[in-house]
Amino acid sequence: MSDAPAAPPARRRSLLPDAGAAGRPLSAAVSVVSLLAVLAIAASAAIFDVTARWTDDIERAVTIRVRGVSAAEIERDVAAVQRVLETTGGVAGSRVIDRKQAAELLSPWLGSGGLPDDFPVPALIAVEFVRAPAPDLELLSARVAAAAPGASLDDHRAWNARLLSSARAMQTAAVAVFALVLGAAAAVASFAARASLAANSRIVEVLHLMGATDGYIAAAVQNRLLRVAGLGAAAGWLGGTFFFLIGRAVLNGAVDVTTVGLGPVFWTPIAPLACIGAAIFAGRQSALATLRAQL
Amino acid sequence: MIVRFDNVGLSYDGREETLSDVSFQLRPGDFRFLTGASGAGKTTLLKLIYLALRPTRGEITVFGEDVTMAPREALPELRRRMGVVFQDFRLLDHLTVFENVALPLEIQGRDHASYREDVCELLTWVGLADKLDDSPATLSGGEQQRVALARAVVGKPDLIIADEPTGNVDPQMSERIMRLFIEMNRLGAAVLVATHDLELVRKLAKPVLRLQSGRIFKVAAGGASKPATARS
Repeated sequence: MSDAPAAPPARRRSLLPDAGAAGRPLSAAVSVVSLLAVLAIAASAAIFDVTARWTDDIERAVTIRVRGVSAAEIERDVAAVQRVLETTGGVAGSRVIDRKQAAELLSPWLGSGGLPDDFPVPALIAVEFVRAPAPDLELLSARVAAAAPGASLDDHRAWNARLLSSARAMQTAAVAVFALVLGAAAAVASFAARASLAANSRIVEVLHLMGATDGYIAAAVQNRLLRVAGLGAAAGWLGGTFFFLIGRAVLNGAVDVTTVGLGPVFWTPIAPLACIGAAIFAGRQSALATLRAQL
Repeated sequence: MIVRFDNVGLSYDGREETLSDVSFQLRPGDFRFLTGASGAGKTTLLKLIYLALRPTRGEITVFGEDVTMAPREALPELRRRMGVVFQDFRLLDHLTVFENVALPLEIQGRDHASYREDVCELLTWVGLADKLDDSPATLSGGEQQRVALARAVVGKPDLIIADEPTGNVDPQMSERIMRLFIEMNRLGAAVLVATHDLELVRKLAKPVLRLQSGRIFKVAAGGASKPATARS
């Protein structure tokens, strides 16, 4: 037994060749699923990002409204409130919306002729704190009320609570969509694994007869799924990220209340990885269940 | 004991039995031919040995393990101790000749570096040194049969089962194949060869198990036949 030829390198081909639903159809299905998962994750992250910024802005600011029976009384109370603010720690600054600015704000209803001198328009003082959350607002409210009986403090808490509640509902919906999408990836992979085993039943039988365990054959199915689903998930990730960036540009151009940053993009790789993980796990379990039904 | 059949019967879907009351033993170092007319049940009997079927009655012991009711998880280990040459070869056309022959070793968890020289030598010995990278689908029937043969013996199994291993090869290659079986047998493997080739059986003068109408008869090398029993 001499003069043997040079040995070829180790096998690179899959033990189970491409067949039926385990090939391109699986790749296409996983790419769609991955795209939806990317959008769900990006939407959830964007909502979190925007809400956090809004909440931070709101928590760092309060509004003090000063009412009175005359403009002079209001001016006096504003001055008293400002003195209180000057001696309050953590205040970054305050801005009084004076009569002129109030007249501009009210012009749609009262006309552009200016306000009569004796018209008692409440003054508004926007207070900004150095960092959120604001210092003891109850104490500040009490000091303001003591210094200026016509002044009251609004910490925007009710509005903030409603905003957070809406944001949480949207995030929950996005997470639910993400979970559904992962379920779809698992179902598609499960079907593909069964289809691959059915299409390669002759090969599977030979492997069994040569002593291959179910785990060995399931690993071959798993490797195929990894390659096919991996390609699909990567394509879906690219597509989903592209659509998110388009949507972000459109939204930022149309709405000037806030802007969606690029932060959510960094979370998107979770989507294809989760899709691949769900597909591999479900595919392997499905393959093992199918193989257990054979001798 | 390598294989033991005790009053084994097998019927498909409750129909008349394909095999009835089959009893025989195969000990370490045995070399047996299995003969019988087409449809006598030779392939069915081999399938029972290589654990592709379970009997409907009786008891089969393989490598000392009762496989009649053994859990599936126990079967791969037993199958790895056998080398089977299937009648229809069952080569995997999407793999090369080399990969087909190496497959049993790969399944056993052997490293490529540890077996590549052995596989090459074996393929050289069966005359396929220049076909290592070819697909089995491009080979002739005789060449495919030699690939199947190489795959069956590459793992140095304790039991070699061959279903018509010389059916598609010329007399010279047929003799070469049988020499390989005899050499494997000399090294300790039990060998069971199902064949139609009575000339081959006569020439090698090995004991024969003859199947007739699903029942087995034992024939001493060159002697008359008698029904086989579990104790025989």
